[in-house]
Amino acid sequence: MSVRTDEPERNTGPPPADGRPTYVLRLYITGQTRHSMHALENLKKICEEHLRGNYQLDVVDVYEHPELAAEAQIYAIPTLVKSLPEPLRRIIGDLSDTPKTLVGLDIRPHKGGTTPS
Amino acid sequence: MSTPFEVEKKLDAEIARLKARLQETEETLDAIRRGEIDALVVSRASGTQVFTLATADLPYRLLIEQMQEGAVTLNAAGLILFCNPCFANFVGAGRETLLGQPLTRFVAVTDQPIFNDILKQALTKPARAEFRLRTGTGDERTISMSLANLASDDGPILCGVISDLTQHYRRSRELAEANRKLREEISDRERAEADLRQAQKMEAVGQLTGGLAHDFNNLLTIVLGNLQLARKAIHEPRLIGKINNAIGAAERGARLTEQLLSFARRQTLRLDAIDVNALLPDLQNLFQHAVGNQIELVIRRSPELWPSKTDRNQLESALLNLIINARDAMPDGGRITIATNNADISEADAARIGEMLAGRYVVLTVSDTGMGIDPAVLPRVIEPFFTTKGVGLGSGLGLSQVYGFVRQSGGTFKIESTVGRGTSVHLYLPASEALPIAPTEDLVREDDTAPGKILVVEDNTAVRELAIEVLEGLGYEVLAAANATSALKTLAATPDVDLVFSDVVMPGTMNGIELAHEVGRRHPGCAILLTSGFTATPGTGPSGAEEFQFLPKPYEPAVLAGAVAAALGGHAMPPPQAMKPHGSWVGDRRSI
Repeated sequence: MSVRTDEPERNTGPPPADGRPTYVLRLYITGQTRHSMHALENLKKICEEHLRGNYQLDVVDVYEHPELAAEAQIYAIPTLVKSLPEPLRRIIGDLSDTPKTLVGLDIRPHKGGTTPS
Repeated sequence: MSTPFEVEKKLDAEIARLKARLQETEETLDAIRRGEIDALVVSRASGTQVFTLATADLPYRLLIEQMQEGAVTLNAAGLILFCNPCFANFVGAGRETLLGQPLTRFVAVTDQPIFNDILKQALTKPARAEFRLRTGTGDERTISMSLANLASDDGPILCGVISDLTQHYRRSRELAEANRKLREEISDRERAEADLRQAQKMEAVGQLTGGLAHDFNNLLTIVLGNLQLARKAIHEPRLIGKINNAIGAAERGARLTEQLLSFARRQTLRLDAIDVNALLPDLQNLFQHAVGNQIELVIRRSPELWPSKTDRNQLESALLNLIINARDAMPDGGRITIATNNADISEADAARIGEMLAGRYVVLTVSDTGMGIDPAVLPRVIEPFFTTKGVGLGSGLGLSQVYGFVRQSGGTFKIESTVGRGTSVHLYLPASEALPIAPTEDLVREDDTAPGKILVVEDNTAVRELAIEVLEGLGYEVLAAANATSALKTLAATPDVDLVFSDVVMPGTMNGIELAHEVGRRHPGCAILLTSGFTATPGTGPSGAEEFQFLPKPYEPAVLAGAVAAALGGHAMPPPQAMKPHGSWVGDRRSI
């Protein structure tokens, strides 16, 4: 289901000519725990609807790799990290609030038309 | 040095960065407050640890609780710290009573060492073993347990999964059983195919030998007939002796062709209800004479033997052939047993024995204690001219005759042989519903002649001339034709012919049987006598031939005289002595 909004979206169009995706995302989860699974589900939906073909997504199970969570300064699970396009952003929770997630991913502009630099 | 403008710009950027961090921190706290997270990542000096929140691992718990395998956690001593409902059901106890109990309580006594081993092994690396667990109902079932150590700060915790193998083994057994049945079916089919190939081969050989015998019978008729005519004309004793020798040889030839026809299942069989038990004592002397004094002959007659539907003369020949084979298999003496038995053959038995239908049979078994037959040649023993005897010692037709005769009788035969132990041949003859007939004396009425006009129809010139000479010698007026068409022409011109004596197998558009029917239609008063050296032609001969008198070739003048007189007299002919009796036409119309 797509979410309709009057606010214009940022350019999330086709991937650039060099084939490298614009969006580089990494989701930190703990195995098949409830919110981790919801977060993964919600994120896949958002990516397919808004970033189709223009993103790279890694899923890290911190049960298996706790050191990766520490390196990325992750405190709570699940956390989604957008490392590209800059700036780096962390979004905590199950990503069920789609408009908020779209803003967090800089797919939609922040309220008041400003973006953090 | 930075300008005030640059300082201000830096400060703005710093403020924005701090705002973003603040926002992120607030969002993190919000998410924690809303309970949207599963775990916290805590970094300590000793390393990073992930603490899962109490409700976050629900899917795992459900998985463990609801799975259809038993799950347990044990301490190093094997005490149950946790178990799932499946395990509790299996051992038939409440979960609350199981916690703190040693798992060995449920392990079969004899399998305790296996369990202790796996418990020890699992401390260092994941282990797996099969042993028996006692269920709530008291029976013991084989299970497979995998056990792994989830080392924690508080010491080892062993995590085990238990699968019931009963179903698995049952399924394996079922599969093995299905596999066994399949293999059995395959070997049954292979056996049936081998039987079919053998039957087809014998059929082909039978057709060949039948054709050969037919031609030989024509030749022997000429030889024998002319020799006998010559014997009458010659009075020189020295020459008569030579002619008698020649007649003897021709008669032996006739017996050989008779055996060939028997194998080819083209002989004339006179199928009567025969009491084989009553027949055997009469034959005992003959058999004992044939086997000599070194061999003991034992006859075991089953009481209340059913009558069998068979040809008495052929049965005697078959038994004699088997006894001579048995004798030759025992050059240093031994014992031959002839036994009779009733056998009610089921469909399954018939399929196993092969070449027979289900039903009631009389079984005649001839066993010897001789050298036995090499399994390699066993399938070939019924082939004509196949012999294991030395050159000049056997014709290779004995078992061929037996085989052809029992198959034509609607039965079959089986050979069992063990090298060094002996051979048993079983003849299966169909049981007869009719009461057995009393043996009759064979009669010949050589002087039974009467004047009359006879039309001889025969395509072979020499045979035709012989028949003419014999019949004219008996005082008949004889006309002749070389085929059916000219015979009908002759009959049309000479309607007062008393008897048509015709060969069956002739070139042209009409064979002897068709001619006989035609003569019967056009000249109802005319008697008919058929003759052939090829006594049945399955598939080609018209039906209804049984209604005609029949004389098998080769025939001697005296037999021809009797047959012609009987045909003219309109009464059933007495069976002649020297050659095969003429009887009703019994052809083998069954195909394998």
